[in-house]
Amino acid sequence: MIAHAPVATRRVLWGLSLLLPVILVVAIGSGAVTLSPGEALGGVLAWWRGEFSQAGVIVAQIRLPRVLLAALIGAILASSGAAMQGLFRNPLADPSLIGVTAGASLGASIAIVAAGAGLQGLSGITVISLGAFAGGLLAVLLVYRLASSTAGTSVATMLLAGIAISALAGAVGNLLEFHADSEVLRRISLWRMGGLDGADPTRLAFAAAVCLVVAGSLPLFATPLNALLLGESEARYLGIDVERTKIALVVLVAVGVGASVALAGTIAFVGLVVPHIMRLLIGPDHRSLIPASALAGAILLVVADTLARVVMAPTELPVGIVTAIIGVPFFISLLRQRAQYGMR
Amino acid sequence: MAALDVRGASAAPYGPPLLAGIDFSLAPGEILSVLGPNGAGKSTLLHALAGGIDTAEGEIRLGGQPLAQWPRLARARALAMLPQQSTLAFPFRVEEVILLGRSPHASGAAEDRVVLAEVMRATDTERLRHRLYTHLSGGERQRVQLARVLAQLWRAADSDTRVLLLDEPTTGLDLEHQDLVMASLRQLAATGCAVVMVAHDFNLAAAMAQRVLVLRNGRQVCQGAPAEVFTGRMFEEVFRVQVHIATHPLSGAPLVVHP
Repeated sequence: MIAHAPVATRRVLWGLSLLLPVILVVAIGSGAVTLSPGEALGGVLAWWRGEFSQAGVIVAQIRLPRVLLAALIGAILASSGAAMQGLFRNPLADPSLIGVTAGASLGASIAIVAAGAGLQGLSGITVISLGAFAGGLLAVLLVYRLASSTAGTSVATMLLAGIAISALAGAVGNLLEFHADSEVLRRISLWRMGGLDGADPTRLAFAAAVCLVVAGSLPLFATPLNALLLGESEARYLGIDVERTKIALVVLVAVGVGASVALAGTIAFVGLVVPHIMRLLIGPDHRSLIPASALAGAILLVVADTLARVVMAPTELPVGIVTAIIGVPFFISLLRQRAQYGMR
Repeated sequence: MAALDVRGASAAPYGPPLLAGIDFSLAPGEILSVLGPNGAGKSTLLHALAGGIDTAEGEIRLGGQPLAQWPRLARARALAMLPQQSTLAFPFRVEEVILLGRSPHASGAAEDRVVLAEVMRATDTERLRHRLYTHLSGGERQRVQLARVLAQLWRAADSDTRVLLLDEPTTGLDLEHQDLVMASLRQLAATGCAVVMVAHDFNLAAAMAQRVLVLRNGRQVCQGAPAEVFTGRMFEEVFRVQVHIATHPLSGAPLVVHP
């Protein structure tokens, strides 16, 4: 049986590259006011030329930032997931394993509680985002220190330390909630479910910068990641600087996931499942796996967020619920054929 | 100049010494077999030679230069290691696994394809080329991993010094493939690549190697030509077995008969 031959890899990459713009246009057109792809594009052009049109305002100020934010965050989460699964040599690893998600959640909870009812509007969202970003990075730093010794950094210890730090952050977070009043509690739990409704040009610019750095740098580590799949000492004997690779990957993933949690709350599942699905389709070579995951992650999150907006309009669903509802059946159907793809 | 020069090397990566008093020298194109009972430190010695374990005392020189002073990539072009077990659990295609052996090189895709074709022939893995590694049997995986380390050192043009370290390369191979692999290793050695091979099969070691090194409890017991090292007393002292040493009727190499 010939699985994921180079031709299929190229076809999948092209397919995803062509699908993404189509999905973006459809997503921009969907919502309370439905716009055809032509109207959506016309609106963007009109807004670009400074002309006023209703479609232009809807598209440029509301939908475009939100759809682009979804795409960027999806790309960050999925490419980070691909890198983590390679680093941990475990196809079930998730970017949140190194403690970043739990740390960011705690950081956000502390920011919400500390600011209390004083949190209003944009500045409130920024304070929460900063808290989340700082919390995520701190947690990863702690995990990394725990797993490092003079002999280097143990990936297995990092995984266990990540679980421990996540549990600790969760416990402290629960303690905060236990003492919080119902308004603060509601804010924390809403934030936790994740959402892209706070999209604005500032956040979009931040997400774009982070995505450029993370999804732009991770492919540089494709060959070291491929060699690492053989084992750490094998990678070393192939001339890979294993310690430097580990540090760089952990930092990139911490920044990427920390930023995405800060901007959109915890969106589970994308970082775990998208790289897994891509690996089943095109194989484990990180040179194509990381770009394919980034594209597919962007597509999945844009589709999920669009559904979250329109399914129960005018009420919005938390996007994490939708990613799970779309992704799980697809994932399970692939799992049932996993032997055919060479995964145990 | 010796490809590999080891002077009084010892190693103690986890506290107690695992290797002590290792002392030998290997010329380009020579094949050395490392023998010893279980737990004698054979794999540890290979990892020390590969630079994966630091030496506590003594020195290991690769191509005349201390091992630790070699730049990472240059070392990977000069030195390759086949570990005893491989843990690759991701579904790479066989040719992708073999081409990982070319990753330290910058010889270009066309040249890498030529090497790929040659090492696949040398290990009879051409038919497996498009199969998934995770679908292969143990012996097939062993041949693929062997092809990977062969690809790393195959071209004499890639490095002035080349040393191949093999931890039980024939594990899981049937006799036909054992013969093929040994012929391929001889072919590689003939191009100037030194080979260090941990073996369990005394007769294979005697047939393949110009030199044999015997380890026991991490210490080097003796080393030399197979005919000098293989004595009834050595087998009694190191391996605690009584053997009869005959001469191979065709090759003239020592033949160990274990009743």
